[in-house]
Amino acid sequence: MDDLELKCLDEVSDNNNVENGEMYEEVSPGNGTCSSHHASDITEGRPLLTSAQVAENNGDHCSVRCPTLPETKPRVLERLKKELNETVVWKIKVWMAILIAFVFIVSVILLFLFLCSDHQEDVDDQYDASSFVVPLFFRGSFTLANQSFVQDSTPQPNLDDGLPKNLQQKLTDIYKSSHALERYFSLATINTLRNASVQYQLQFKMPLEHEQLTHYTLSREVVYHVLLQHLLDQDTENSLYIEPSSLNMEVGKWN
Amino acid sequence: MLCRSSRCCWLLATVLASFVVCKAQPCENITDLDLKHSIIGSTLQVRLLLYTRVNATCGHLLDSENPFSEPLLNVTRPTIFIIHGYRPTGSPPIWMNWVVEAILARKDVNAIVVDWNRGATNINYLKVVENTRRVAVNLTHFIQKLQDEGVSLSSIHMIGVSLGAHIAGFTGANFNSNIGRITALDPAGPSFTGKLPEDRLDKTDAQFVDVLHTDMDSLGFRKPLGHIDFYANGGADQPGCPKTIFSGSKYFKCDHQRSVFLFLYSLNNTCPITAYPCSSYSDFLDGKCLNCTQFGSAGCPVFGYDVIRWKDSLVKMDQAMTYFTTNKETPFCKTGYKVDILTWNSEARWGYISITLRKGDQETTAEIDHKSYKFEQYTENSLLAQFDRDVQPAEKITLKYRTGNVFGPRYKLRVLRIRLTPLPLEHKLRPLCRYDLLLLENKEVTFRPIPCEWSNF
Repeated sequence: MDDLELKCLDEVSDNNNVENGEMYEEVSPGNGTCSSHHASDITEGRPLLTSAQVAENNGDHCSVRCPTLPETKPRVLERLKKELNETVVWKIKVWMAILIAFVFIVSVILLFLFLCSDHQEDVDDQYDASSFVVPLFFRGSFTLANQSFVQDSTPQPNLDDGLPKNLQQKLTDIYKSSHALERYFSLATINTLRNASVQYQLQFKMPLEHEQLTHYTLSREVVYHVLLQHLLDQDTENSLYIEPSSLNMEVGKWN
Repeated sequence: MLCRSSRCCWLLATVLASFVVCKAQPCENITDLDLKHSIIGSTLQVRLLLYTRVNATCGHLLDSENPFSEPLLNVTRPTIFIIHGYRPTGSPPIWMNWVVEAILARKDVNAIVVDWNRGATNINYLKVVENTRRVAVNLTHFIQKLQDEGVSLSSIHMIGVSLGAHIAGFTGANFNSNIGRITALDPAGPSFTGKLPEDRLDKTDAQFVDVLHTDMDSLGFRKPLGHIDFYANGGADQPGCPKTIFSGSKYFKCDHQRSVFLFLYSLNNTCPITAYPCSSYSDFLDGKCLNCTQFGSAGCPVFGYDVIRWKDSLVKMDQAMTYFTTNKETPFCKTGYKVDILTWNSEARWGYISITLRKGDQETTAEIDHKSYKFEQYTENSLLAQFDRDVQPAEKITLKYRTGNVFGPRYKLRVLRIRLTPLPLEHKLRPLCRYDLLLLENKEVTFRPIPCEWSNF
């Protein structure tokens, strides 16, 4: 193809078998650049252009200015409107189909993000308690503030059966509610109850690999302060009120 | 009893004395010009106005050839010069009287206001820059007169604002580092940036040069110029100052003028602002520069008028860049805490922390969002939390962890211990602790802090 057909829609429209939209564009042949069609209105008036096409450059795309095209814009819009109103299937029109596709894509993305955000497991929430086998003990004492005891220096484990059990439960509840220590906590025991002074023992179980654990999470500092901060938060009217300043603790061995 | 305190007596005496003095001599103010003078340009005229405790609100014009004809000028008192900068509209600086009064309330000095408004008022900034040398010549001549009457150069303190800072520098250079102190409040950058030390203020211009930077990205000077350089809020943008041009003239001058207000605030000494020597503002915000062991028992330097207490160690150190943050209005001082967070998540977590302190119905919040911090297992992160007011002792603390992600999983930050140590560290105030916290992303966790005890990690 050496020459290119160019024409304006409003002038000659039946001679070129060219689609309406293409009429306003000049497509360079093979290796053509813009032709010099702007130079002459006369040549533009012809249905077939015979002006020479320069063939040095590669495929430039040039638009043609037609001198008067007052109806072009409304026509394009009209055509677009018409096409969008064409029925695809049943009562669904093209514009509806585009909208549905768009909504569908957005919903899929949102659903995907939503599912991802909710179903992400935290690795620290999963642990195998049966792999915690190495015991670790802490021992210490504290004083009960709101209990009245018989002035007797002998150990009275049966003075009030409920008291050691309640204290044991209290310690267990405290450590079972701890985010960091709960998984390692095993047992709290009340050894002796003398006057208001209580000797206690805590047992934790650690995995075989526990060097860092005993230095940080299961250190005396953390185990002691978890208990102490609960004691400081407790209600002073409570019958099991433990005097926070009386609390002491050390890392101990089972006896 | 008429007077209940010595301060009251002093005020009364000042008022009475001012009345007596004012009756005798008319009060002089800084030359008041307008935009018209700025457009046609004004020729330089330097006027020196003396204020003392006797005439704290009524300036007396000094005769530069015969300054001691003014009986209130006393050679036994230290002398402070206050030098303003470029005046594009010709109006006298609004802060001048406040600064003079605050200085006189603090110390019994000869406060001399250098009025070079005729010369500083010109739409052509370059012309005003040229005039700075001439003002310095004028001041040098005047100081020589003082020196002849036995005034010690080391008792002279020059406070220069913007271009005034360079005037102080040029004047000081004429006395071979013998002037006692130069305080530069946001020294001017345009026409001075990149110049040789002799063509601008530098630390050899006085025995001690302290510099405040508040607008280094526009009207101020970026590089350090003194023995100590304070970069308030990083030295560029000040809190509460407009960020867009739609706010009018405030947009241009707010950051620059803040330097004067910060210095003015430092004079009344109610809430000292501690400055932390650091290599960058970013490192300071990261909490990497909270120790001031290099200053020994004196601790970190305090910004403003009182930094003179650190003179000896700062002169020995040669140069120190220091940083602090301020509130957007008075009181400018912030209350800082060093926050150490030890976490036990086995996977590293990233995010920001916000901390709220409560005491009764008082509440203050610090957002530590300068950057997203990485929390690694059993690695302590030290952050800097800065509150706009002091809520001590905090009865309740609320923590919030956020990642900034809109989508994605809601992460948990598992805190083994959080410790809040009040700043400055050399005050050795007792830190507050809490152990074993689970911070769910975007959920607040409130607790009662406990006093920290010994720690082996």
